[in-house]
Amino acid sequence: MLNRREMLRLLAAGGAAAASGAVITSCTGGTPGGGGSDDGADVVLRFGGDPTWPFDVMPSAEVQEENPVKKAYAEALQTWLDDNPGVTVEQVATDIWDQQALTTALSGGTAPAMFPGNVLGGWNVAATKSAFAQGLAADTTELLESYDMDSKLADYAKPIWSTWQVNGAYYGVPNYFGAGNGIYFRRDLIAELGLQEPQPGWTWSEFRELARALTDGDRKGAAFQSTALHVRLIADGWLELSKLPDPESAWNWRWDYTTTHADTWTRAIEDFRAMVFEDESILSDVAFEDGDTRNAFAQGRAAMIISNSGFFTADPNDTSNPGPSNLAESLGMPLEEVVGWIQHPRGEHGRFGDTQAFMTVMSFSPDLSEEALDKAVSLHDWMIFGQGWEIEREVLWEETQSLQSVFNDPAPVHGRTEVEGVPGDLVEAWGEQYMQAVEDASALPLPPNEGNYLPVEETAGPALTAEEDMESRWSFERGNVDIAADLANLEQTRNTQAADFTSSVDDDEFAEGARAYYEALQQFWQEHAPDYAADVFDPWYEDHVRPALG
Amino acid sequence: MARIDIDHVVKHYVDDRIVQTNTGRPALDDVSLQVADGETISIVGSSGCGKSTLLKVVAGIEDPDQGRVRYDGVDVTGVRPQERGVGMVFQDYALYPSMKGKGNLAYYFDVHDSSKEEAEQRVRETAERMGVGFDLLLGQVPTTLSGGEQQRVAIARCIVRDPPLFLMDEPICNLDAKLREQTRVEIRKLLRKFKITTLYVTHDQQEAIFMGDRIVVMRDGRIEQVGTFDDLYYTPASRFVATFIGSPPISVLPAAVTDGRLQLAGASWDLPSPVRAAVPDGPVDLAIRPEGWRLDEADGLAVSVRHIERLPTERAAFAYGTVAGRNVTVILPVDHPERDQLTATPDLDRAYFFEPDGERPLHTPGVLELF
Amino acid sequence: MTLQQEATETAGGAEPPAGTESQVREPAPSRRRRLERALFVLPAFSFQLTWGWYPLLMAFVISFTNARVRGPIEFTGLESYERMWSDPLVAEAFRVTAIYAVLSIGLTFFIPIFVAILLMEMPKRHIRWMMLLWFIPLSGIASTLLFRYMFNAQYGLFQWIATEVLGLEPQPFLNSSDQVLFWLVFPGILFFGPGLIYMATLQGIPASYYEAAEIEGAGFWRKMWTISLPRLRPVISMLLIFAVIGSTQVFEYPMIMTGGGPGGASRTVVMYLYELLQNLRYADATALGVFLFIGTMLLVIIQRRFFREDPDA
Repeated sequence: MLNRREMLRLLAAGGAAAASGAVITSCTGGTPGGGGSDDGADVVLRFGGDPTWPFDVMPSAEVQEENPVKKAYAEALQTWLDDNPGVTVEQVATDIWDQQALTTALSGGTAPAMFPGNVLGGWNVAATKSAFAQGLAADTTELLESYDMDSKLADYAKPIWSTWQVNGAYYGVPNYFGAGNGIYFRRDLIAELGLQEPQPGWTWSEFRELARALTDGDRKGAAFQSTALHVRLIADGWLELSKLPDPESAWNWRWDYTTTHADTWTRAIEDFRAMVFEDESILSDVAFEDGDTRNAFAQGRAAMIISNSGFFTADPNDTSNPGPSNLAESLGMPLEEVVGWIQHPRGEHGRFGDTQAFMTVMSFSPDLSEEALDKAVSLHDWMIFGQGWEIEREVLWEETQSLQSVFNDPAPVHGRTEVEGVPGDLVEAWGEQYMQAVEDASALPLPPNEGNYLPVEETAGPALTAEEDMESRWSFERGNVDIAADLANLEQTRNTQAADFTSSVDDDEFAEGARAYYEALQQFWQEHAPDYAADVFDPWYEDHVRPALG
Repeated sequence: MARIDIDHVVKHYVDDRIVQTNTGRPALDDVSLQVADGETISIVGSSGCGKSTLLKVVAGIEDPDQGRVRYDGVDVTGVRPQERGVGMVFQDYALYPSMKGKGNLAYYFDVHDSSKEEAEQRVRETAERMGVGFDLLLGQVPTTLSGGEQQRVAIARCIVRDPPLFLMDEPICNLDAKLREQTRVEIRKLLRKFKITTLYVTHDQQEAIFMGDRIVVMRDGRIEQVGTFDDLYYTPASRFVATFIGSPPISVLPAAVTDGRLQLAGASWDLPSPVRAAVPDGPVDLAIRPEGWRLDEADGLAVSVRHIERLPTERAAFAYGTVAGRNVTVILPVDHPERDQLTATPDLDRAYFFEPDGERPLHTPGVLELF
Repeated sequence: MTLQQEATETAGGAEPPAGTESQVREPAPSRRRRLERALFVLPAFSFQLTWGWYPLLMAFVISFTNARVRGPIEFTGLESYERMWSDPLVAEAFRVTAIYAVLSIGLTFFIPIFVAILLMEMPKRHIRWMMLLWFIPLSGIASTLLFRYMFNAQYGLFQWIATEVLGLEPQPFLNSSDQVLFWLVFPGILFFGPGLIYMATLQGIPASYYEAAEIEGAGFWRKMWTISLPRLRPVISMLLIFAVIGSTQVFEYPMIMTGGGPGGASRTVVMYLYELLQNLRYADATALGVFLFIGTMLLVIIQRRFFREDPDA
């Protein structure tokens, strides 16, 4: 689970623009709101957003001189422009990273032609898909075929890409793949203390032990934001087991935190709170954001943090956002010996933790002409999947002679790990252990996505706020917390909120989709987490889901 | 009623700025003054001379750096103003803005937890003493009153509690001329009626003369002279007092004495013997008041007249002109014809002599014995 | 040139025939004058219309629709209002906002009045030093970030003061739903709120008022009640409106400090409104905005009533 800030940081970290080629182009037609001009000769591409990242108009010679990333980008862009005469690029003021600015521009028909689709829904997947369903981005289904996207995507990126389908159509192109969140740990400290390094499939009780063992004076075992508890609960099925299909009701869903797994939640929450308040092995505060926990880790004040796989590759020159490289440097040790990354621990019954691949989508203005849309997709394809990406790598190598600069994306969306003309590859850049961890995480199977079975709602429905509130309360509230009462309260709040929403999906259609979804889910858990399926999921499914769906 | 004794008071103001700079000159520089019971003293001086500061020190609003203040022989230096029981009237009236006239009068009784009846009683009495129409002012908020009305309320606010000492800080200078005249008379009447010891600060010498049994002339934080108007007028202690008191002001002409004769602008006269004894040969500053000239005598000086101001009520006129480039004022009969030139002779018996460019008087005419 | 003409016209019209009605009634302006007046008013009026009333009206209209960014917009009646009315988190956000407003107005609006009055008793030179300190420019966001660190319950400065200096138990500060609103308001106390404006107003009161009161025997409290507060009244009345509006619409500060936590205990109405916007629920957000608008208006009306009364009447 990612929040928007994490996502932004992730994308910003390590200059994804340079290495992964996370290029965002804004291409609008010749006139605002009118798409491209129809004569086919000229297309103006309009970029919006931060003037220097992720996408720029042609960088000046000076900028190229100073910044190898810009120079690499400029060369790749120039080559594409040479191949596509009649296309020009322009910068506009609309900040494509600002949800409100972007939707305002879209409503007025003046949006830049390319923008991160996730911004539409404030980085919330359900809200983003609702925005797609409302037509806030151009339909790219056909273009994906004509650009043969399927063959260009890395195998590990395909399942997550398929979740971006909205009622059978796509509203963007794959832009960036991430192996997801996991836990960073101090390899050197663990060795020093003679402890066991965590392995994939480890559990939350192992985590607690490790955190306790790594706590020493001012150094805490881990630093947490409020999302940590969410991560912890998900390993026990928090999201799927609290939500029940209810075709009888207007919104088709209801929430239940009290009748089925309240004991599980209570146990997990109490265990989590014990880490913070009894073991005192956790650095945490309600005010904590990504920067706080990451700094705590990079400065050695916390031995573990939750962060996405990309943090590992953070640019050591960006001293305002120190990363693992800075930590290694300050300790005078190689990065690989200091910092490790591991997927999240599993839950009580062996259900996967929250480590899950994610993908950002590049979307296009729905006001683009057919030709302009094609050019925009073409440019994106060139920069992310095509020759543009290679040109960038080559120039970066020439300029920096640093493999880490060239391959700063540990799980490229296309899966390519080497480039002609660059001696060395991704694994060489970052070390085998880290790459293995990323590979393991990327290989984690993706549970069936509700959206692939059920029509997407036109409105996103009740927000996650109530749930996030309780997670934040349990994470930080000192003193006594009545978890049972809180769970009841949460259930009440969510159901009251849902009662005022009406689904845009027909009841029969819903029941049919839901049946298929839950069957797929059951199959998935039976296959990938048999204990969880047998002990938890199947009985719940039989007793509560099946009867509801008839 | 009280006798006030101000004894060698020195007061410096702490500078108002963040970085303190010592301007050096004290606001009050060794000021001593005795005020008799029931006496009204006018304190006059130009702005910044320390007259208001003196008042505040007497009231206790400011503490002196040195020296003592005694009421009836009791040392009150350091006693808070709240406990001195004096009454003070301010230039800007300082009525409590949120209260009606009546509330302003009753304020003292509120503060001192007096009974409502007592307060009512005193307010009523005072209203009667203040005269006709004062009742009407009691029901109004200060902002709706005219300046004169506000000042009447402010004065009543002091009278209502029979203060032993009355301090007035330019109480009528914000009023227009006609009202000022009226209020002046009214205050004078009240002061006479209640026989309250009063210090009355003003920058207007006419007012000072009118109000004060005695007048204090202050300059640069010091008392230049204390005395009745006649004392100040006829026997000024310094050139400053001579020029400050009297309207139109005294005319000062540089002259010289040679063998007992006064030489001025080409003319010369014998000095009368009392003067001769006091004024040595050599340069001297001759000062003549407007009434100190004799007209149309053979040995007179030529005065070129700028203009003539006639004051029919005084049955006189003032001729403003110059003698040897110095401004002079000469009093004329009211029916004196309009002329560009006058011939005027200084009446050396009524003349003042000062050291050249100095403050010290060499000879003053002394109080005129009229009877 | 127009000014001159106007001046001439005014002069010409200054002597209406005696005994006619025009003495009391303003003479009807000429067509030209009317046009001129309209031209003068036009810019302000159109600005107010386009940036003031139009968005307000549109927000109101939107709240009755499904408010989609694109595609057909349908009127949905009171649906959004019903949804907002029954949403428990809306009620909670209003509760939080109300407590925040009371704390904020009490601690950072009313207390500075008394502090300002107390400060005025200090020597003037000291006052100027203090004012200088308060005027040191500190960007809002920067100081907020600073306080975020100072409030940290594990290594913050305030915890150090609580445990090391005052010898208390470790305090939760922002990590407590009971305390979080107080601590959010707390920096405002240090920054003295509108205290400088109070002090400026107090400095405008002639010293003679206090001297007169002192001479009549008034002590500190009485001087405050009878002179300082009455003179501050108009300023208080005006600033209070701003304070009420400001505190009911508070957003950035708790957003940066706590993001609404713990458990929504510091989520204000506007913060919830922002979350609705993030979920593309524009109609719900505008309906919530209308609720907040009504609530704030009510407060302002009550405030106006209270301050209209003359205390001495």
